[in-house]
Amino acid sequence: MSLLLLLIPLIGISLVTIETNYGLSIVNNIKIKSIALTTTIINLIVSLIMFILFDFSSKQFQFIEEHYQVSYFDVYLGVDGLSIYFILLTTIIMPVAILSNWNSIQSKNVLSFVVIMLLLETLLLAVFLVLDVLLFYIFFESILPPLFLLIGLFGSSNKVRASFYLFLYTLLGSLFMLLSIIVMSSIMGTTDFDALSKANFSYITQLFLFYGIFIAFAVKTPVIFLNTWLLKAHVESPLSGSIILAGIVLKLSLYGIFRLMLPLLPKASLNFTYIIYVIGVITIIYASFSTLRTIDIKELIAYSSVSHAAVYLIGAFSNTIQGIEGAIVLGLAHGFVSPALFICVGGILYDRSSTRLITYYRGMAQIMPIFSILFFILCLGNSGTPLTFNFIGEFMSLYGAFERMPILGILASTSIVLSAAYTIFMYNRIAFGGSYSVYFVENIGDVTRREFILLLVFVVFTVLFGIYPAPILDGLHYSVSSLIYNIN
Amino acid sequence: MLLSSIFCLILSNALSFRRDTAILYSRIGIIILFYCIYLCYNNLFITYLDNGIGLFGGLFYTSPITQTFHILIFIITLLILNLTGFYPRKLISSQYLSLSNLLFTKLQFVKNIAVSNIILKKGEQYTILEYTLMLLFIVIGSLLLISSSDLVSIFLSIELQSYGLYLLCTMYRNSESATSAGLTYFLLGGLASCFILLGIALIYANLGVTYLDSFYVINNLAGVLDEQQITIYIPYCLLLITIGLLFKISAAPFHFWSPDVYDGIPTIVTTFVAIIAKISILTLLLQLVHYTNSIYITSQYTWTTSLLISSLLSLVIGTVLGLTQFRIKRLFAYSTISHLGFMLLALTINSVESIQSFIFYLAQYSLSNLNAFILLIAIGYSLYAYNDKNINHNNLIDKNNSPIQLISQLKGYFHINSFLALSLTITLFSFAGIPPLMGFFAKQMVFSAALQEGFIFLTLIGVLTSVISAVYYLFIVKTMFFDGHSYTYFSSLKDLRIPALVLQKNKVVNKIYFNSKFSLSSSLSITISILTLIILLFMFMPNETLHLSNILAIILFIPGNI
Repeated sequence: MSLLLLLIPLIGISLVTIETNYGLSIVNNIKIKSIALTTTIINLIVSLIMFILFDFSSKQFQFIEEHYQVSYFDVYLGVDGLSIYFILLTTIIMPVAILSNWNSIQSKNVLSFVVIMLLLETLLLAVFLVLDVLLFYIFFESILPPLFLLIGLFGSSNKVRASFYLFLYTLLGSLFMLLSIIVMSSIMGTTDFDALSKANFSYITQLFLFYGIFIAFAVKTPVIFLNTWLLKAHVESPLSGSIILAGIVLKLSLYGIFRLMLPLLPKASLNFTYIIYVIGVITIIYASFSTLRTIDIKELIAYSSVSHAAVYLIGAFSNTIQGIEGAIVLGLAHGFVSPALFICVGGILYDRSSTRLITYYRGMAQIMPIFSILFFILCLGNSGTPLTFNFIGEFMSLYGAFERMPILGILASTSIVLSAAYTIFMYNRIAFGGSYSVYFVENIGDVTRREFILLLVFVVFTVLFGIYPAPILDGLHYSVSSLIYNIN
Repeated sequence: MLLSSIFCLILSNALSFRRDTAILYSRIGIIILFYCIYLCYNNLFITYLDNGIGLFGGLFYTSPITQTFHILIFIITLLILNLTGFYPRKLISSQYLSLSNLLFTKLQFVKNIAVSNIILKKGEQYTILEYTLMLLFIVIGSLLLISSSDLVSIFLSIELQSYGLYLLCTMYRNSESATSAGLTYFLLGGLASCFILLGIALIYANLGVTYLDSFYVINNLAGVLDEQQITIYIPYCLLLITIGLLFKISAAPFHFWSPDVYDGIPTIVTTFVAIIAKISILTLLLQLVHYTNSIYITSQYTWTTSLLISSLLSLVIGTVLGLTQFRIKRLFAYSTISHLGFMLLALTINSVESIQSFIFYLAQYSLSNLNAFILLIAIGYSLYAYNDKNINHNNLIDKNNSPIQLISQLKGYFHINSFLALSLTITLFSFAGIPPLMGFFAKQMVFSAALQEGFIFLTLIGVLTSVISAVYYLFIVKTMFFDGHSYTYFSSLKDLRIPALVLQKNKVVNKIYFNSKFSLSSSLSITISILTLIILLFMFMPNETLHLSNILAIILFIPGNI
């Protein structure tokens, strides 16, 4: 079934290309797009079936598929309690991403757009599915070329710079991870996750491996001063690119921490927690203040992603069950809320007004009431108000952080106030703040049905899990408890 | 044995001196090469091949490594000849596609000036008769070089190969840039040969041997006996030879000629010059380094340290200077230099794993480099039907022979032919070492070997340079995908219908019209697609190649025990 997840988008790609190259009827863009959408929805259904069949009372890998004949680097797929949620997140976000750019892609480019999206889905799912460190690296890296092309082909004015930043920053970081992985495999003679997690590297080795891997994940998370690529890429990329970046690509580092750093390098992670905490706290505060000052809405949301990412980074390294669970929950919640906010500002508002500058917006609540309500709920989510999924995640992460290192935990908790500040400030400027802006000559319509559905998906998830998070937390307990490292 | 294939080459060259069209001639070359591959493959099954077998009184020898690289060279030459052996464009009529019609009908185009100006437009490569002959002579030179085991035969075969290359460069007599580049190549290559000769002469003067095996024996004995007088010259002699060899493969700091030469000569020739000489000389270096690695200049440094320095310089110079290039062949030249850095690194480490990675790197880089150049040529062909609005592009020197010279000529090519653009992108990403592609695995193996032997500094340099070099590969990708193009389809071609007569047993049966949808001919498109798919899908079938290089490396280390 795990292999099926990877193959369905590829089948979709071949269907689409066959349709355009050899199709009997005239090439129909709607048809291409609907094939792609159907493919992703089928994939969503498959992953939901997987979720239902998943046995949460076991912390073994499940749905394991091994194909030793296929490759020298064994294709070895499986799912455990951690990765199942990321897989679900990916399969939920992909149809939304395709749907989000439904009308805005020029007709001649539809084919390449669809192919890139489906390819990205396969590669992203592969990252979460493989149980081999080298394969993890391979897929972790291989999402770069499609993303590069996605941003470059469909991005806005400054797209070239953004795509270069994305590619080069991440490549530089990941190559250090490659070195660490090579060292691991040359010490152990294997690249299998299970076998490696049985290993006990000497402390010095762990330190060097830790540095290498942490550089990669620090760029990907991103922490402050390494976040330039993220802002540029988010701002310039098309809406679907932003959604995938915020929703899934940033979570790769979180997932990588649970796969590579905590189980394989426990001592180094434990001893270097304070460095990560300091970096995290600086990121939270610095990014939040930068967010307050930003006037480009897309960049504003990207910056808020940076500060949220720092919160779950701190939670992940807390070595408490609550902290780690909180990190995953916040990761998922951010994966719902942040794409939704991008749809709000990058899709709905931008499509109608063609500007991203916050100063041009005023009084949207008067002319777009439904939009304003949905946007408001999402903003509450982004600031971590109770009864939203983000609240649970943020609370648990900060709880774990506080238990691990009280002072830095308190400093990290400023994120609660600061995130509320910048989010509400943004909402206030867009939705209220006087009458309808004079800059808009024509009237602006409220959300269409497509946009309403897109937003509703995310709003429902955020609120539903915010009220009743048990389905996710219950599944996490077993897997997370194996990540805790006991010093004695 | 091995040399029978070479004799076969020479003989067939001598016999087929008919003044036919060059295309026919290339096709004969292709057939010859197929036969050579078959012979080489058979030779792999000879008993005792693992130990190496001396030929011609020890002037040459053969071992699995030489045989494998012979096959590689044959395959690459075959693909290069494929470029001149067939017409580049084709027209398809679905009416006559069935097998019986293909076999029994003949087609004759009706002469039409407007059409022939564009369709039959071709570079000089189809008119030069000696092209195939020269190519085969160079191939002989490189084969002999790979399998030579005597200093004299090394020099002779290097000269055979190099003179062939000089002549090949200047073969396009009407092109000013090609002849001047050929002259540069000749002068600097001659200088390099002098170095090699000097080194050989010094070795002979000091040791009195030219036979490599006895040379190795003396080296190792001298190491045991600790007689400094004998061995004190040897590292310097080897250094001189190595300088010459590095000159020929254009590794930094002896790289200055290569961008100029690559850029000056026609693209088809560049393909050959860039790949073949490197394979043969690097294989020779592999033997040389492996057996003389233990000779120390002082008590700590072996002479191969100089190769490490060259590797470092190649990595840095290849990437940094490549950043400023706007002519695509110069850029490829610099990218080759930086890849040479990786290969030299793997070569110098000299452990089983590094030799394995070296062999694999060399093979994969040759193939993907070949693919890149073939793609350039194919892109050039496909643009004949387009009118370029950019004036800068129309005044290029020697446009007939190498149609694509500037990176900016590729602007927006994705919107003209997306498949060629995608193939080039995949190749470039493979150069940059992006994971699922072949180049990544080669780089990863080199890094792994280097880390295992503790070359941490060079590994870090390798990591940094591969990120920096990714910039210029990405720049090409960016030019192809993100920019708009300045090409317009020739208006006279738009609604052109090309008449052709269908002949059956010399009688005109039918007259059909082709619309003006040109496509690349199958020889080009099949070659490109096979190479690209190899690069792309390498992950799913790496066993054969990796095991092959692994076994070759092991054989080199433990001869006789396999």
